[in-house]
Amino acid sequence: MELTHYLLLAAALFSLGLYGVASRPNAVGLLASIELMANAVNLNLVAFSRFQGQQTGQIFALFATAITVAEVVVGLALVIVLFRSRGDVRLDLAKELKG
Amino acid sequence: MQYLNALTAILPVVVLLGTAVILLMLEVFSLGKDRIWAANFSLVGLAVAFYFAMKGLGAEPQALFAGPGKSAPIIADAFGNLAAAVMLAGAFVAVLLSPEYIKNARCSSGEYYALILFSVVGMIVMAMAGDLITFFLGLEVMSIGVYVLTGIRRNDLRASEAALKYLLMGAFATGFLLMGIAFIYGATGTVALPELARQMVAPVGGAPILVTGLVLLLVGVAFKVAAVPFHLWAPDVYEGAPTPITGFMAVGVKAAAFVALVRIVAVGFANSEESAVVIPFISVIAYLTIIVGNLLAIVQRNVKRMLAYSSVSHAGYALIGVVALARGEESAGAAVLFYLTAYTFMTLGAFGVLVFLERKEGGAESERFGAFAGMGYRHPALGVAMSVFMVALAGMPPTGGFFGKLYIFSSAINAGEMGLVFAGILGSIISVYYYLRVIVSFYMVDVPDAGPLPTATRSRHLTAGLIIATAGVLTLGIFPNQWIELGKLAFKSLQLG
Amino acid sequence: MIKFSSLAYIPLLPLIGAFVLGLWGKKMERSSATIVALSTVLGSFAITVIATYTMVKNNGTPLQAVLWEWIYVGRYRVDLALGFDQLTAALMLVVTGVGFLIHVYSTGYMEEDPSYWRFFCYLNLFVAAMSMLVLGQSLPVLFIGWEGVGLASYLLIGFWYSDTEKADAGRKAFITNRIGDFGFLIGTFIVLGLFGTMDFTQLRQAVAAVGPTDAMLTTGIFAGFSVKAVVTAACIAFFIGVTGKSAQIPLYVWLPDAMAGPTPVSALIHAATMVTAGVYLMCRLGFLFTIAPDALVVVAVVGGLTAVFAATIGVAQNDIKKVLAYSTVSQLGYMVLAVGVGAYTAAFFHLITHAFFKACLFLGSGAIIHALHGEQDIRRMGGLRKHIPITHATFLVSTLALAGIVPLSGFFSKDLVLAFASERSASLGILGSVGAFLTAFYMSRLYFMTFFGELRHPDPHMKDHLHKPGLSMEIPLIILAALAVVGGALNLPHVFTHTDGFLDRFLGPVLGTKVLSMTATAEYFFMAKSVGIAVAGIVLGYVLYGRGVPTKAAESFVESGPVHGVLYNKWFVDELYQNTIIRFTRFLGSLAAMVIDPWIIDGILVKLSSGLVSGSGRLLRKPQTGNVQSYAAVFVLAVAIITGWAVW
Repeated sequence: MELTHYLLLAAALFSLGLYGVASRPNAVGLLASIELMANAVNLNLVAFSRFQGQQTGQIFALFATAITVAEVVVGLALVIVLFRSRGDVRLDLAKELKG
Repeated sequence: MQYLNALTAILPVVVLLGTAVILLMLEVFSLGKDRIWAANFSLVGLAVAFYFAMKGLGAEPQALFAGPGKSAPIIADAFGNLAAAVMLAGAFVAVLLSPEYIKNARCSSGEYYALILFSVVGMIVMAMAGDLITFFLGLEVMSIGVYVLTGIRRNDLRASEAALKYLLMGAFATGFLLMGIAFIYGATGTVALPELARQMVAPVGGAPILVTGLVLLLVGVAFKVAAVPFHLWAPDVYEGAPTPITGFMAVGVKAAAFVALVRIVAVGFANSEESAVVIPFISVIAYLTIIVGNLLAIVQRNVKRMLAYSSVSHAGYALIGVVALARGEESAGAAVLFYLTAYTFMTLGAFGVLVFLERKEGGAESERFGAFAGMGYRHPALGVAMSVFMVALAGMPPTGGFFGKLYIFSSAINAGEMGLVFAGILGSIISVYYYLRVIVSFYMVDVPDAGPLPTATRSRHLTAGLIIATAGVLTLGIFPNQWIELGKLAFKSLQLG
Repeated sequence: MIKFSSLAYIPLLPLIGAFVLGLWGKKMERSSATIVALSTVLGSFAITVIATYTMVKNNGTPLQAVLWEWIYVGRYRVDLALGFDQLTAALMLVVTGVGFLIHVYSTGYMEEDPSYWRFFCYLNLFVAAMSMLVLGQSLPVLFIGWEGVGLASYLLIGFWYSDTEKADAGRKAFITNRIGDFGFLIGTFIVLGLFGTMDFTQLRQAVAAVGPTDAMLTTGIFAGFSVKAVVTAACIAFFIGVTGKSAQIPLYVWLPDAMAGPTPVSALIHAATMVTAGVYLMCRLGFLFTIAPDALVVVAVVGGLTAVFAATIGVAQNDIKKVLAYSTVSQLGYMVLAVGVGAYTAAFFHLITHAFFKACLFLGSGAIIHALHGEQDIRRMGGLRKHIPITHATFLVSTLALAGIVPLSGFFSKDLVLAFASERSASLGILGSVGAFLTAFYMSRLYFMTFFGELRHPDPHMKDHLHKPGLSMEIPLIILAALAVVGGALNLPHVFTHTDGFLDRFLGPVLGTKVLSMTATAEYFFMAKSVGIAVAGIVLGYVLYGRGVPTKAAESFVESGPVHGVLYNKWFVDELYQNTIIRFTRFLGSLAAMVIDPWIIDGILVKLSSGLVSGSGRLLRKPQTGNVQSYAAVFVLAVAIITGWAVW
């Protein structure tokens, strides 16, 4: 296994996430897609770390995971708030603010 | 024990965290419905933190929490402390604006003030970050707090929509930022800023990876400062958020991101050919931001939204300073700091006036230009204050806004960036149109039917906030030199550390 | 330079007063408003006296107070610094001293005005700005005061802003002064470009260090011009500023209209202090004007012409304040003439004496107007000698001083100016003498028609319910009249005392000394001639108006007829401006309205640019759909473009 393999896998994951963000109409789906992107980054970090023989990247990955989890928690809470007031979580309909 | 000593060097952060935690605990007892006490308590915390930040200006730069042989994640130097002072002052005014808004919007909730404090902690961490991990941590601590604050009016559709949009776009941008840091790390094998400057000369992982990493990192920051074309979220979020929080966001988040950027550029990108490739890219963003921000501000009919776009354009002016800095012009560091300080006061002041004028029931309608007709006569002091803020935002003397632009432009001229200066001046000229429009509707439009007036506020907090903002704007315009000298001193500490 | 930080309080105290009155004046008791207004100006006066004493005790070393470092861009640096030398001392004593007396007077004059507090707020603001102007150590600081006094004057002229005519007068003053300010700024920039500094002390050193002034400059933005040419241009530009502020041809038109303001304002601002700011500026920059002799010729000619021109108009005016206004323009002309012939001290001497007697005349006219319930037309006055004796006495003294009767103050100062002028050139001397004759004539006309004969007011009962001036109005009058009598002692002629005059010695370090070269006999003869001219004017006035009403000769020659028509209508200058400049502008305007506006401006510039602006605004709004996912798409697109561009 070479570094390139990890990077390619990560790139694929990141792109999948991007596709999800662009196509999912559902806020929860969007959050999941963003999570996918974050995991691609983590994979990169760990891979770089291992091939350079030091731990910085792995520690960073730990921090990043914790932070993204917190972000998703807040995100889900906001989704619930929106669901309570609107009755759905479709993002293409949430266009009160524009222009 | 060593870490305990290190904490004394970042007392502002410690004080803020303590205040916020105590606030959350006291919330259990639910003392009073309007929670004025919570506002006062956070004001005390912010003031104490401000005191320690100013005290820290004189101290030697300290590298904190460094492992043996490792670089330090936190660097407490004059630059970090000065930036912290600016952000603390901004938060102080934002808290002052809050009680009146909370009363009108009936959105009292206990976490409000604690969240502001937590966000400020994140900002200060960003300003003192010695490596990219700490920078990222600070950024997220700040952002998550602001996401929640944006949506704190849970029963308001526009607020929840704004909050969710902000969070989704923010998390999305974070993905890019993280990817950028990962690439930089992959290319250089380090995330520490001073180390980065050395490693960048001969990147291990190849130049394209490094350049991609740098670009993505800057994209992440550009998103936070709402620079074009990563600004699309900003107007929606600014409009939907509670007005004091909009001010806090426009000021604090932007200042923190710029301060971190100045540190990254000055320390991490120092003396490296590799990092110079991103300069044209920052320039293009600066051009776009100034022009698009100003053009879009003109067509707005909602004052809050107009201010949102105006804050976009101001990010563009500050970016001119960053470009000059990246070109090696050292005076630009102090100029950006000065600009951010002036911007903090004038923007918060403008949002403060908006808090005053928003009617309880009006919603978006109360924020239209027309709703301000004749306000200058009905509330003379308010009219004067708003005129001062608008004149300052337009960059006219004798206000801090004028000197901010003057310093930024003169540093850009020294760096040879005439094109950016030209764009900046053009943008300022356009901006006069929509800023004066506010003054015009304040004074020169007659209202045949006065209608129900927003009753004059008796909120001492709001009054104090507006007075501080006005005094800040004017002081910077009358005594600009003291502050710019302080900025220069602080910037020097950056290069020592 | 001696540090003397209390200098800051001279402008600061009145400023605080203005601030307090502006914020809380409405709610204040009248008496407390009075205390605030008066005590702050008195405080400034006290500090000025102390500063003068300190300076004199230190052998005339100037005092300085650097308040803070103000603008600091690149190699240019401007501190907010105040300085206090002999020139400052002389004018500051007048500004704060006379200013205080006029404040006292105003408490009586404005007694019944509902906006009492607002009046004093503006008046304090004026004193603060004027102090700033006089104390400023550099051109930008002086300019703050220069603009500040303009603002205060604008506010006070339009004080009764419900009256459209008065508001218009305010606007006229404002616009005319903007033209002057433009000149001032141009001059400042030229000086900065040439010498690289705007500080007076450094400027003086830089000018002294300049070698032969005819040498061409080889570096800098003025390469290819001689120093003399550049300095001349700067001086002319400054002089344009002076014609605006000090009401000289061609920008004097605002001053007579400015009489719309309350009379104490006319006395303080439009006679004693603000209008002399231009003369002060030229004295301050005397070292610059001295190396630009061509500019000085322009100054002298304009000053001399203004002196005569305004005096002729003064002959035919019937509004008491208008007569005094044209007289002020004329006397300012003398001061400018003196500067033009290089006699700075003489100019300043006349400035000071003029401040005394003209303030007294204006305040006296205020007392008359007050007594007659607002009547300003001298044809409806007369016989007031018996009714308001103190006003009459002070008015008489000041009139004689203005006319130049020995040994009153006006005689000494005007005679000095005339002597220097005729030494420079005979024609300037003749201009001055003609002006002096006219001055004596129109002042005696004014005096006799006001105080002699019987009261001609259409209201027959006016005599019984005249408003007698109170003590607060009479005391300032008496003090000013006394000063008008003894003011000449400030600078007694050389032939009397066989030593240089006091003012000559006092101002020497700043303005340099210039002595008359004529022999003692010639000088005595010259004085006799001056007094003779004044007496001739007064006698003519007495013959024509001695009974309080114009005699037949006066009626047919001065009060009607073609000469009267021309003079009464002020040589048709307003009409001239109306018909030339304004009409030409209007013509351009209508041309613009027909051709340029719809086609070029509206069509191309406005429609195109506003279309461009709002169109691009609307276009740029397109991505702002409100949909998060489209935002994300734009984001990704932008990242892709930028990354691609950066990597390849």
